[in-house]
Amino acid sequence: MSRGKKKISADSRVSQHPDIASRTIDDQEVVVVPATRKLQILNEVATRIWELCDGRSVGDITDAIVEEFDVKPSVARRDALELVEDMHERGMVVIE
Amino acid sequence: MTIRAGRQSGFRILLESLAARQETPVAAMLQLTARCNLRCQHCYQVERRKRELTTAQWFSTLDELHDAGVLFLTLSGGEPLLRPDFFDICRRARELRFALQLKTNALLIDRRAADRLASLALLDVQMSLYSTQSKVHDSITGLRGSHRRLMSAARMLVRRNVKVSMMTPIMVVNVGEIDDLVSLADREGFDWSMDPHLNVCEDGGCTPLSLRTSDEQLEEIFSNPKLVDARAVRRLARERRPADRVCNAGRVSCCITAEGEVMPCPLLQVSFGNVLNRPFARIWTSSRKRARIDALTWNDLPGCRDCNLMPWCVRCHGAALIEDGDMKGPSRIACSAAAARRRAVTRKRASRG
Repeated sequence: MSRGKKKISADSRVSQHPDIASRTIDDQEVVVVPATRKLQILNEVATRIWELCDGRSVGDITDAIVEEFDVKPSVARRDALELVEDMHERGMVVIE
Repeated sequence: MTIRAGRQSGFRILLESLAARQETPVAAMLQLTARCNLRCQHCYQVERRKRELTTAQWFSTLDELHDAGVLFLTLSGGEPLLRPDFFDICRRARELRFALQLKTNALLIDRRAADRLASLALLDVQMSLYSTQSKVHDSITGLRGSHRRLMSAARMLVRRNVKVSMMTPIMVVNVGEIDDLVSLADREGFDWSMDPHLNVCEDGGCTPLSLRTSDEQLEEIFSNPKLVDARAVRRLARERRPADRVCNAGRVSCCITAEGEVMPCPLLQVSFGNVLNRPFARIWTSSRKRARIDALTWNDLPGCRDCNLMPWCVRCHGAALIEDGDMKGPSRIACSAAAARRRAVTRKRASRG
C-alpha cells in the first residue's frame, strides 16, 4: 500500500508506525507492515536509521549517522531523506 | 482476493532464511485454550480439560518468545476468544511487536469484538468455511446458525479493513462446491485457501476419515488450475532431493499448547518441554527431540526415501505418527495425495501432448 509522496525535509519528525511488527534478527531489523502484509529486511545503516525514528527530526537522524558511520554529511543527508521517504511510502513510519 | 493452495514456497523460503540466522524459530502458534464452542465433525483436536496457562504465564511466555526472536504469532485454540483475557494477551503481544494472526470460528465476534480486533493491526483473521450452503456448513460444525454467524463476523471485519482468510478443508460434502467457494470469497473480499488433507484425531480417533475425499476426487482437486499451479508443482518435484529436510516444524516454527507444552506443530504430539518449567529459548536449544526432528530429511525416512512418489509428496510427520503409528514411516494420507498429485500433473501433460 503506497502512502504517496509526502514532502519531507530535515525538520520533519519521524516515528515508527504504531501498527508495524518488528524483530531484530542477526543484528538486522525485520519489519512487517500488517496493512500490506509485506516484510522488509533492513541492512545495517537502514536498521540504525530505523532505530532513530523515535520522533526526532530527519536532520537529527542524519547527524547521528554522520557521527556513527564513515560517510560525508551531504551523502548521509541525501540517503537518510531517501530512506525515510521510502519507509513512509511503505507504511513503516509516520511523519509529523 | 488471493487463492492459496498447494505448496507455497516464497514466504516459506523467507522464513527459513530468517530462522537460519538465529537458533530459534521465527513463527509460533499459541493454542490459548483447548476448549471450543463447536463440535466440528472433522476436527483433529481433542478437547482437554487440563489446567491452561494463566494470563501472567502467557505474558511471561510472550516475553520469552520475543527475546528468542519469534516475530510471527498465530493465536489459536480450541477457540481463543473463549478466554476472557484474550484481548489482554493480544494487546501484550502487539506491545511486543509481534506480527499477529488469529484463528477463530468467529462465533464470539460481535461489533465490539470486531472493533477491538480491527485496532490490533492483525495480519489476518483466519476462519474455516465449510460450504456456501448454511445447511452443509452447520452440519459440519454441529451448530445451527454457525454459517450465518461466521459470514456476519467476516463481513464486519472486512468492513473494518481487517483481512479475512477463509480456509476450507475439502471433504466429501463440499468437494463439489470449490468453484462456488472461490466465487463467494471473491465477492466478499476474503482470501481463500483449501486443505485437501483431513487428519485423524490427535488421540488416534478416526471420526474424520469418513469425510475424506476419494483418490479420484483428490486428483480432480490437483487438476484444477484455479487451485494448483501445475508448473510450480512439477518444478518443486524436480528440485526435491533425498537430503532435503521434510518439514519446517521444529526449526522455523513451533506450537505452544494451552498447558505450556512446546511442540513442533499442533499435529505432531511430541513435547520438547514446558514453558512452566524452563525458559522457551532453553527448551528450544537443549531439546534432543527437537534437534532430531529438525534434522529429519527424506533420507531418514526408510519407507519414503526410495519411493517414486517422494518428489510429489507433502508429508506431515504428525499425521504419520497419529494415523500410521510411526513418525518416520509412510503416511497413508500423504501417499494418496502424492499419487493423485502426480497423476493430475501427468494427465495434464498427456492431454496437452
